[in-house]
Amino acid sequence: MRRITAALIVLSAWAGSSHADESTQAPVLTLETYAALQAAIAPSPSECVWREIGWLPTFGDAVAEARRDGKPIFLWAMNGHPLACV
Amino acid sequence: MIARRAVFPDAKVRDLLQRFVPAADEVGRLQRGKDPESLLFQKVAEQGHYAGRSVPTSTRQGLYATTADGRLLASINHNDPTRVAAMLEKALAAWDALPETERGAQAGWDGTTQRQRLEGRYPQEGLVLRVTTRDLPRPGAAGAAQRDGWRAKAWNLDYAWFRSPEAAAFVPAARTLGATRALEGPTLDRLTRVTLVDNVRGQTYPAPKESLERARLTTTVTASEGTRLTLVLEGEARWEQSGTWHIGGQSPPTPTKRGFEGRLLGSATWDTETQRFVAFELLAIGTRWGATQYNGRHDDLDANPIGYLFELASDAPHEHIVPAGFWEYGW
Repeated sequence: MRRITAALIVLSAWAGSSHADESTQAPVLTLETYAALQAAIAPSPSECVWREIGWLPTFGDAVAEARRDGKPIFLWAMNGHPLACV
Repeated sequence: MIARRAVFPDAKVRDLLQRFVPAADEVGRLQRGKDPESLLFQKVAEQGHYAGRSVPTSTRQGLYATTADGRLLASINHNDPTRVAAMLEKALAAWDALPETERGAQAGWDGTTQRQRLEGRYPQEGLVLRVTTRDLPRPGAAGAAQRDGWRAKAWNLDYAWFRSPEAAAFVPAARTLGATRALEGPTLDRLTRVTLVDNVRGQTYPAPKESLERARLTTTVTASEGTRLTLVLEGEARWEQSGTWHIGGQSPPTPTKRGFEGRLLGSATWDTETQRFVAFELLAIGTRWGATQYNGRHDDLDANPIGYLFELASDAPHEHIVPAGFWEYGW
């Protein structure tokens, strides 16, 4: 989180400086700005905790494993796949 | 999206989930399909929190605990971890009270036969990229407003799939330093109008082919050592679509434009022996504007900065997710 926060501060400065594209106010992507922009977008470890649960990607996969292991199923069902684009 | 940060990091929820087989799935296909997997889900859902519901929508979204043969143990649709933990405890109590013979290990659909899933088209020998999307900081008052509430934290995930020949299409024919290749066709299409869409706050549609005004991505060999070629990727894209969308969810249809314009830059390493990428990272940085029905931009139509990070996905099951714009792939 600290890494991303730091990068966002840097990017905030860019967005209002000569580094910004005046027509769009977007930071300009160059070799020099690449690392900070990458850090600003990449999820922090704390943002990815939900992905650490051993999710199976389909209901059917869970049915097969539950039958094999004698366990109940927990299903998270959403519009859009909960593990990707919701 | 809220459950990602509110429910599943919760220690008690995670502890209780140890006793379950945890799975996640897209509900639309499951609640409408006629295949065995969908029918089993419908059996579960019609015992649950939205059973029989058709107003305001017929959605069956939520969290379900069930036996393998579809006996509901408990369900809820909520983002409060305390309530979800209580639902899990209720489910485990019901499970523990069931005789072994009624836990569904032998009854019903086996989870594997007659499957009708696009996941079967996962390009095992090709290239699978994880795509993270996030708003970038805005200057001035817009920046201050952006930092308030959940919008500042919003980000989303998608995937981009490439079959082996499509992955190889990134690599210049000549393996000499400075050799270049301009991507074209489906590979370029997939990286631009299909993936560079505004899903930061919620899902949206790929941009149609006719909306693509500029798309270019060039790869250049910058190093060669043994079987490894290092490539730099550089390009740009712009698309804009006019349309009429219910941009406030269930609001009246509103004519508007949506689009993206920006630059792409990254690097990748190709193994000439295995014919696969062993490293891949690409950024797309630019501006998005407009809104569609479910992407949460009804109050944020103006052009503002957005960023995309493409990375190699792992081969873990939770990354075998069909890309949101898959129907544009033509596979």
